[in-house]
Amino acid sequence: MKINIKKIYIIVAISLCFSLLRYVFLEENYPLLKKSKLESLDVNLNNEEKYSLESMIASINSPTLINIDLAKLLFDNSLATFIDARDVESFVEKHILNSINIPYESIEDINNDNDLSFSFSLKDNFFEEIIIENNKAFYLGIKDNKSFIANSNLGSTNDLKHTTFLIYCSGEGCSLSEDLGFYLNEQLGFDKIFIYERGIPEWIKLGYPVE
Amino acid sequence: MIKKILNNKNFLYISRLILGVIFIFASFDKIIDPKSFSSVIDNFHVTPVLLNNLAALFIPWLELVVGICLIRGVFINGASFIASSLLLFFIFILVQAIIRGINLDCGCFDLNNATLDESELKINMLRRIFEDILFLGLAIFVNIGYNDK
Repeated sequence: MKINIKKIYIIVAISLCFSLLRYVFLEENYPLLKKSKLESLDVNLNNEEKYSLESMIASINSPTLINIDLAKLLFDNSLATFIDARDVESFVEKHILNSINIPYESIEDINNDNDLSFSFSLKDNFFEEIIIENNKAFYLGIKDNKSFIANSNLGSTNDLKHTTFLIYCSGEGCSLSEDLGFYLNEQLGFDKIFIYERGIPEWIKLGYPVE
Repeated sequence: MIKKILNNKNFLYISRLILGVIFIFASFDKIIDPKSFSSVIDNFHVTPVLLNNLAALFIPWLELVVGICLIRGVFINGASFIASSLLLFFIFILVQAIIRGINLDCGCFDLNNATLDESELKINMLRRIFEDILFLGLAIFVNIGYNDK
């Protein structure tokens, strides 16, 4: 191989200049140094420790990475609404029992149709029925200053039971759950969000409930 | 025989053009949407998350400049060396993704892949590795065949 250091430097310098120019003209928020936003929570609890589980949830205020044990505890104790961030086809094929589908790819469309960020910023009682690609609707809104996502209509007290959310997608290598988690946290103000990174493949592998 | 091929100016010229077009073509989407490209880099789990936005901003322009250099016939040794390094890196990250069983099918890697099942995805990735090895061969060939003035 012929290595011409001087020419390599020139090419790299030109590319750097263009990158810088591109950065200046980027319209969206694009931090040069990406923060690893997820904090990891590694706890080993059993079902008897529900109280400590609840106090642990109370201490969460940003999307937090969790493992299968904690995900299962939240599921068993009905302490969180499970959200599937994959596309509708994948969700319909198989998903964690009772989970709601919010495909991250559709968020932009949902936002354009409903202007959710604005509604949420008012912090007023409201709810939106959201239907994605003929999929089952879910409801999203604020009641008594608590943000909620529910899979049935308002009126039942169960709908507001969960203000904690667990988001998953198709396992390691999939960032949809993280993206959706940070969207809900940063744009809509949801604070009790868990990201179950290993997602549906691990859940199915362990034989946990799916539908 | 190899020397004969290496000395074939037409073959060298065509290889250089093919490589240049591929690099330019590959850079466009990433230049337009660096945020998505940064997510793609995240998904490979090989580079520190901190640097992925920088890489997503810089690599596409490097590809574009390398592609233009190859087509225009300037700085050919430098451009083909960078092309080889980039291709080696791409091959490495694809191979490690397959070995570690990282599932890149989440609609964030390549939207066209969203409907593929696991075996199709694996075949798709193996095809990409094969293509990259082929392009790496071309890049080395161009590097050896040309002499920058």
